[in-house]
Amino acid sequence: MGSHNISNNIKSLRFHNGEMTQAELAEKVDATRQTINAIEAAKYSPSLELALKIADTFDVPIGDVFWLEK
Amino acid sequence: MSKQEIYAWTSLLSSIAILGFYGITVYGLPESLSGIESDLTSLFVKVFLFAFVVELAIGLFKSKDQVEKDERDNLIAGKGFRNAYYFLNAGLILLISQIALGQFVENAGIAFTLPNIMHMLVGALFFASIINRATQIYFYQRM
Repeated sequence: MGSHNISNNIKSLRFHNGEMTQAELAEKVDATRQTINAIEAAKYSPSLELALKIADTFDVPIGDVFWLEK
Repeated sequence: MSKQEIYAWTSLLSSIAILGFYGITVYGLPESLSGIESDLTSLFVKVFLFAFVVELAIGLFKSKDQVEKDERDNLIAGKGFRNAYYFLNAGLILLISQIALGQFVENAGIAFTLPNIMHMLVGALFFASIINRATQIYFYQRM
Protein backbone atom coordinates (compact mmCIF):
# COMPACT_ATOMS: atom_id res chain seq x y z
CA MET A 1 0.00 0.00 0.00
CA GLY A 2 2.91 2.33 0.76
CA SER A 3 0.72 4.01 3.35
CA HIS A 4 3.56 4.75 5.72
CA ASN A 5 5.51 7.13 3.52
CA ILE A 6 2.76 9.54 2.59
CA SER A 7 2.23 12.31 5.11
CA ASN A 8 -0.50 14.90 5.22
CA ASN A 9 -1.64 17.92 7.12
CA ILE A 10 -5.38 17.47 6.86
CA LYS A 11 -5.81 18.00 10.59
CA SER A 12 -4.17 21.41 10.44
CA LEU A 13 -6.08 22.37 7.30
CA ARG A 14 -9.35 21.38 8.94
CA PHE A 15 -8.49 23.50 11.95
CA HIS A 16 -7.71 26.53 9.78
CA ASN A 17 -10.95 26.09 7.81
CA GLY A 18 -13.43 26.92 10.52
CA GLU A 19 -12.47 23.96 12.69
CA MET A 20 -14.12 21.60 10.24
CA THR A 21 -14.86 18.19 11.72
CA GLN A 22 -13.83 14.90 10.15
CA ALA A 23 -17.50 14.15 9.51
CA GLU A 24 -17.98 17.45 7.66
CA LEU A 25 -14.93 16.87 5.49
CA ALA A 26 -16.07 13.29 4.84
CA GLU A 27 -19.46 14.53 3.66
CA LYS A 28 -17.86 17.08 1.31
CA VAL A 29 -15.61 14.50 -0.36
CA ASP A 30 -18.10 11.57 -0.39
CA ALA A 31 -16.14 9.43 2.02
CA THR A 32 -16.83 7.98 5.45
CA ARG A 33 -15.56 9.65 8.62
CA GLN A 34 -13.51 6.52 9.34
CA THR A 35 -11.69 6.90 6.01
CA ILE A 36 -10.80 10.53 6.77
CA ASN A 37 -9.57 9.41 10.19
CA ALA A 38 -7.45 6.65 8.61
CA ILE A 39 -5.98 9.11 6.07
CA GLU A 40 -5.14 11.64 8.80
CA ALA A 41 -3.40 8.93 10.81
CA ALA A 42 -1.44 7.95 7.65
CA LYS A 43 -2.84 4.42 7.90
CA TYR A 44 -4.49 4.63 4.52
CA SER A 45 -3.35 6.33 1.30
CA PRO A 46 -6.32 7.74 -0.60
CA SER A 47 -6.86 7.37 -4.33
CA LEU A 48 -5.78 10.28 -6.52
CA GLU A 49 -9.43 11.22 -6.97
CA LEU A 50 -10.11 11.42 -3.24
CA ALA A 51 -6.82 13.25 -2.63
CA LEU A 52 -7.78 15.84 -5.25
CA LYS A 53 -11.24 16.22 -3.75
CA ILE A 54 -9.71 16.86 -0.32
CA ALA A 55 -7.28 19.43 -1.73
CA ASP A 56 -10.13 21.06 -3.63
CA THR A 57 -12.21 21.31 -0.46
CA PHE A 58 -9.45 23.31 1.23
CA ASP A 59 -8.73 25.21 -2.00
CA VAL A 60 -5.02 24.40 -1.90
CA PRO A 61 -2.71 22.48 -4.30
CA ILE A 62 -2.56 18.74 -3.64
CA GLY A 63 1.13 19.05 -2.68
CA ASP A 64 0.13 21.21 0.27
CA VAL A 65 -2.07 18.43 1.62
CA PHE A 66 -0.07 15.28 0.84
CA TRP A 67 3.64 14.74 0.39
CA LEU A 68 6.09 11.85 0.34
CA GLU A 69 8.22 11.30 3.43
CA LYS A 70 11.92 11.34 2.66
CA MET B 1 -16.79 1.81 13.91
CA SER B 2 -18.19 2.24 10.39
CA LYS B 3 -21.36 0.54 9.20
CA GLN B 4 -19.38 -1.72 6.88
CA GLU B 5 -17.22 -2.83 9.80
CA ILE B 6 -20.32 -3.60 11.87
CA TYR B 7 -21.71 -5.56 8.92
CA ALA B 8 -18.42 -7.49 8.77
CA TRP B 9 -18.75 -8.39 12.48
CA THR B 10 -22.41 -9.40 12.26
CA SER B 11 -21.80 -11.41 9.11
CA LEU B 12 -18.85 -13.17 10.75
CA LEU B 13 -21.00 -14.03 13.78
CA SER B 14 -23.91 -15.30 11.69
CA SER B 15 -21.59 -17.38 9.47
CA ILE B 16 -20.01 -18.99 12.53
CA ALA B 17 -23.46 -19.61 14.03
CA ILE B 18 -24.85 -21.15 10.83
CA LEU B 19 -21.74 -23.30 10.33
CA GLY B 20 -21.89 -24.47 13.96
CA PHE B 21 -25.60 -25.22 13.76
CA TYR B 22 -25.17 -27.00 10.44
CA GLY B 23 -22.22 -29.03 11.73
CA ILE B 24 -24.11 -30.16 14.84
CA THR B 25 -27.24 -30.98 12.85
CA VAL B 26 -25.37 -33.00 10.23
CA TYR B 27 -22.54 -34.63 12.17
CA GLY B 28 -23.52 -34.16 15.81
CA LEU B 29 -21.03 -33.87 18.65
CA PRO B 30 -18.70 -36.56 20.02
CA GLU B 31 -20.15 -38.81 22.73
CA SER B 32 -18.28 -36.99 25.49
CA LEU B 33 -19.83 -33.65 24.53
CA SER B 34 -23.37 -34.85 23.82
CA GLY B 35 -24.58 -33.29 27.11
CA ILE B 36 -23.98 -29.75 25.85
CA GLU B 37 -25.39 -30.30 22.36
CA SER B 38 -28.73 -28.59 23.03
CA ASP B 39 -27.01 -25.68 24.86
CA LEU B 40 -24.61 -25.21 21.96
CA THR B 41 -27.43 -25.34 19.40
CA SER B 42 -29.39 -22.76 21.39
CA LEU B 43 -26.28 -20.55 21.61
CA PHE B 44 -25.80 -20.65 17.83
CA VAL B 45 -29.45 -19.73 17.27
CA LYS B 46 -29.15 -16.81 19.74
CA VAL B 47 -25.94 -15.54 18.10
CA PHE B 48 -27.58 -15.71 14.69
CA LEU B 49 -30.67 -13.84 15.91
CA PHE B 50 -28.49 -11.20 17.60
CA ALA B 51 -26.51 -10.60 14.39
CA PHE B 52 -29.75 -10.46 12.40
CA VAL B 53 -31.34 -7.90 14.76
CA VAL B 54 -28.20 -5.70 14.70
CA GLU B 55 -28.12 -5.74 10.89
CA LEU B 56 -31.83 -4.95 10.76
CA ALA B 57 -31.42 -2.04 13.20
CA ILE B 58 -28.54 -0.57 11.19
CA GLY B 59 -30.54 -0.92 8.00
CA LEU B 60 -33.57 0.81 9.51
CA PHE B 61 -31.73 3.70 11.12
CA LYS B 62 -29.41 4.62 8.27
CA SER B 63 -28.96 8.32 7.64
CA LYS B 64 -29.51 9.57 4.11
CA ASP B 65 -26.78 12.24 4.33
CA GLN B 66 -24.03 9.94 5.53
CA VAL B 67 -21.82 8.10 3.05
CA GLU B 68 -22.22 4.38 3.77
CA LYS B 69 -19.40 2.95 1.68
CA ASP B 70 -16.35 4.45 0.02
CA GLU B 71 -13.11 3.44 -1.70
CA ARG B 72 -11.49 2.18 1.52
CA ASP B 73 -14.45 -0.13 2.19
CA ASN B 74 -14.29 -1.42 -1.40
CA LEU B 75 -10.54 -2.04 -1.08
CA ILE B 76 -11.00 -3.94 2.18
CA ALA B 77 -13.92 -5.92 0.74
CA GLY B 78 -11.67 -6.86 -2.20
CA LYS B 79 -8.99 -8.21 0.14
CA GLY B 80 -11.63 -10.28 1.95
CA PHE B 81 -12.99 -11.76 -1.27
CA ARG B 82 -9.45 -12.49 -2.50
CA ASN B 83 -8.60 -14.53 0.62
CA ALA B 84 -11.97 -16.32 0.54
CA TYR B 85 -11.38 -17.17 -3.12
CA TYR B 86 -7.92 -18.62 -2.33
CA PHE B 87 -9.41 -20.71 0.48
CA LEU B 88 -12.27 -21.97 -1.67
CA ASN B 89 -9.88 -22.90 -4.48
CA ALA B 90 -7.57 -24.75 -2.12
CA GLY B 91 -10.55 -26.51 -0.50
CA LEU B 92 -11.97 -27.62 -3.84
CA ILE B 93 -8.61 -28.90 -5.08
CA LEU B 94 -8.16 -30.79 -1.81
CA LEU B 95 -11.66 -32.27 -2.04
CA ILE B 96 -11.22 -33.33 -5.66
CA SER B 97 -7.84 -34.91 -4.94
CA GLN B 98 -9.31 -36.73 -1.91
CA ILE B 99 -12.15 -38.08 -4.06
CA ALA B 100 -9.63 -39.19 -6.68
CA LEU B 101 -7.52 -40.82 -3.97
CA GLY B 102 -10.56 -42.67 -2.64
CA GLN B 103 -11.42 -43.79 -6.17
CA PHE B 104 -8.02 -45.12 -7.14
CA VAL B 105 -6.45 -46.27 -3.90
CA GLU B 106 -8.16 -49.26 -2.37
CA ASN B 107 -8.73 -49.22 1.41
CA ALA B 108 -7.86 -45.55 1.56
CA GLY B 109 -10.40 -45.30 4.35
CA ILE B 110 -12.26 -42.45 2.71
CA ALA B 111 -15.98 -42.68 2.03
CA PHE B 112 -17.02 -39.86 -0.26
CA THR B 113 -20.71 -40.33 -0.78
CA LEU B 114 -22.74 -37.64 -2.51
CA PRO B 115 -24.32 -36.29 0.73
CA ASN B 116 -20.87 -36.17 2.36
CA ILE B 117 -19.47 -34.17 -0.53
CA MET B 118 -22.46 -31.81 -0.37
CA HIS B 119 -21.91 -31.22 3.35
CA MET B 120 -18.23 -30.54 2.76
CA LEU B 121 -19.01 -28.05 0.00
CA VAL B 122 -21.56 -26.24 2.17
CA GLY B 123 -19.02 -26.19 5.01
CA ALA B 124 -16.34 -24.84 2.66
CA LEU B 125 -18.68 -22.05 1.54
CA PHE B 126 -19.36 -20.95 5.10
CA PHE B 127 -15.65 -21.22 5.99
CA ALA B 128 -14.88 -19.04 2.97
CA SER B 129 -17.43 -16.51 4.22
CA ILE B 130 -15.80 -16.56 7.66
CA ILE B 131 -12.36 -16.00 6.10
CA ASN B 132 -13.77 -13.15 3.99
CA ARG B 133 -15.24 -11.34 6.99
CA ALA B 134 -12.29 -12.07 9.31
CA THR B 135 -9.93 -10.60 6.68
CA GLN B 136 -12.12 -7.51 6.42
CA ILE B 137 -12.15 -7.04 10.20
CA TYR B 138 -8.36 -7.43 10.29
CA PHE B 139 -7.88 -4.71 7.68
CA TYR B 140 -10.46 -2.43 9.30
CA GLN B 141 -8.31 -2.57 12.45
CA ARG B 142 -5.09 -2.08 10.52
CA MET B 143 -5.96 0.70 8.08
